Amino acid sequence: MAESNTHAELEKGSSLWADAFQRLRKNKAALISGAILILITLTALFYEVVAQYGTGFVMEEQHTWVVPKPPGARSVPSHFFELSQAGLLAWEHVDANEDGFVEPNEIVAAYRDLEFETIDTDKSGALSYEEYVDAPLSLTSPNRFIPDCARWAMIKRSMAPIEDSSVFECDAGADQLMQPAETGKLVELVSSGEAQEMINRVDKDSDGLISKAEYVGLPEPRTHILGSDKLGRDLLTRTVYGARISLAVGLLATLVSFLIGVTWGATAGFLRGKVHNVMMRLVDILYGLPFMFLVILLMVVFGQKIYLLFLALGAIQWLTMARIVRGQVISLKNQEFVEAAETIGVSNSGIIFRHLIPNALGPIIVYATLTVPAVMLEEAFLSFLGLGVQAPQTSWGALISEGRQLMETSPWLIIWPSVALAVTLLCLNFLGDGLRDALDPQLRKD
Amino acid sequence: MTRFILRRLLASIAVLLVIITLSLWLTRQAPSNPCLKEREANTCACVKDNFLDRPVFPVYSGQVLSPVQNCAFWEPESVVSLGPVSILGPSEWGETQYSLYLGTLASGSLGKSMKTDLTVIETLKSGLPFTIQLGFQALLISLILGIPAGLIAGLRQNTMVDYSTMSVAMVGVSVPSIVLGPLMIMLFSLRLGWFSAVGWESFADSILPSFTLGLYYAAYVARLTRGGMLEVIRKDYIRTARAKGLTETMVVMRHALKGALLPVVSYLGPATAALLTGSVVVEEIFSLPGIGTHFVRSALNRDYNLVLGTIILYSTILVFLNMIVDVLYTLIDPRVSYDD
Repeated sequence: MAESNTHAELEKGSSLWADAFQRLRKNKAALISGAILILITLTALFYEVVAQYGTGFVMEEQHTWVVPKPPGARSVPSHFFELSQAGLLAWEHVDANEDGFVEPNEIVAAYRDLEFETIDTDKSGALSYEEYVDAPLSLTSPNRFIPDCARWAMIKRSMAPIEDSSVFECDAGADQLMQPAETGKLVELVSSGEAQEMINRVDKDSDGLISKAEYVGLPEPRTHILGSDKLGRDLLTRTVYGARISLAVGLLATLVSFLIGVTWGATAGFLRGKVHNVMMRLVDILYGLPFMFLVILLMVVFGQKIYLLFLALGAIQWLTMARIVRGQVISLKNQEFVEAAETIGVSNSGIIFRHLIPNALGPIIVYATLTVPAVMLEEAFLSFLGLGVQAPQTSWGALISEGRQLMETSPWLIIWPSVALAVTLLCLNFLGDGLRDALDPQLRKD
Repeated sequence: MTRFILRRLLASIAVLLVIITLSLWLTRQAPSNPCLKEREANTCACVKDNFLDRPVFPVYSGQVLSPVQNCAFWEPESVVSLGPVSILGPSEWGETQYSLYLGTLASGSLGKSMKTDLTVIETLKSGLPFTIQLGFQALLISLILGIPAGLIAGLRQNTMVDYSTMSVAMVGVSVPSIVLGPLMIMLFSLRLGWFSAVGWESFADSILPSFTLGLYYAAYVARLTRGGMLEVIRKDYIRTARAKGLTETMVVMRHALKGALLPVVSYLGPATAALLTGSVVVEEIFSLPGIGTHFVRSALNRDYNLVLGTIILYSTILVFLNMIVDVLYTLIDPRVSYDD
């Protein structure tokens, strides 16, 4: 009894996929890359939940501000927010003129006080130069633009402050401390337009004011973790939405190339003879063509529609796939299991799709994994040139292109989308290499 | 050998013809055309001047061709109606956009730019030196950096040298030029002030763009060379060479190198295609006056003649480079036969 058990265990063996998984588990870089990719995908898919409880901003949300806000700056969210009546947002403080109604300018003033209190870390009631410089709302100036005092007095109502001692001295005056009244735009969290919107949300009797009975508190400001762009849109949010488009393009275009390439290669490999020669010669010819130019032409001619992007990028990536599948099919075709299938009368398409392709799946999966970063890269190039996705949609390439315009004054706008793109591509490449080593140890170059 | 080259030449010309036909047809399918942005009074003249009042191919279905409102150029009498389809009468077949364009090409011209007063060839001539220099320098960088790195990694397999070189190469193939270019501008131009951020006045201005374009391919070439080296170094003829008592340098330089570089040589064709495509982006990043900039601008402007001229130029370069690489390959590797 015991003997036959051992015998069964010996015979069981392990499948190709189990073997491959064992090998993949030993590859630390591929595993970490896979984990990061899953994390990025999940964040992209479920960002609304993350936004509600964490970051607070959604895609279309704009916050009036004339320059991009650096990481750590705050805005008052208009979509996901928590109302607060504590501290400076209590009714007694917000209704500053005590007429029983809250007007837009009172809301603006309340948020000014709130922001001033946050920046004023030593709670002295005035800002020292250190506090001014550390405030995440100040703007690092490019060296060529530091206005003199007279000029600064003129423009400071419309512009964010500039992180320069001369500007600080101009505002602070002789005492070297900036009083709340001298801060100008520095502490402005909401515009009067946004304040009016907040009123409209709770204003039941449509008089454009909030009475004490209607007052339920004001939304708490939230931090732009990666800063905001020049329209006051949260960069983290835009980067995550960009991830949706970039990943979707990567996956769907790869799917398109997968379908064309596998069908083409398998058919050519299976039929052999003249058809095979013509099909593969066509692939050879297409190999040397400047496809990106045709894609650019296509995008210009037919407008930047996103499904066209999937199709066009997928349609130029199938050539290598077709070659790989053809090679695999030719080597598999002469094996006994195909003969057996032929003998019992399986049709040609049945043999191709039920017997040949499943057995050639290893290299196909490896190449598909490596196609994803290639397609994403092409999409990023197109969007960077302004020929890919169109506003209000965005992708990493489009974000990098936007960030490039302002990279002198607001480097975070280009750095974070770049990091997202580069890390994703790196992970996909590591994962692809890892899968190749795991699924096809003979291909492994070591 | 001559037959092989001749056959490849004929195939290349056929490919070019297909590309020209396809791109001409594509541009003419656009809902917009270069005359739409002109002032109303000039529109019909613009359409006529650019031969947009003719169909691309002799057979034409649908309504009378009028690319711009209020300018109907085809008289209904010359259109034979067959129910839902109308076909142009045979007397009108000669003058299609296709035959006109092929005639222009045959006369050695690419036509006139539809938006500026220059001819397409003049425009391309002004941009070509920049693009070629950029592509050539990038290719040089990728070979000079990539091949030695790959050889060293392959020879010192599974050592720290190998791991660190290949990690750098992995980062290299993963950081795209749209990320690398702006980063280099931020570091070397804005922070350190070594180079100017945009424009192309002197050789120094070409350094950042060339590296931005070339580093990706350097990383790729390094990976290819390492793979080729690992494959070759275990072959019997290398063991024979060692057994003969050759020094390791001789073994590598005389015997292994040639085999190890085969993947790199066959990559040169696709690499050139990719370098030309990539140069569009790099020219945009660094605001260089190359062909790529002209191409993107003309595509957005719908300057059809310039678009077609650029595509024809690029395709010609690529198709013939691929041919040269194929011929080169048969010379390096005698196992590849001339007749497939």
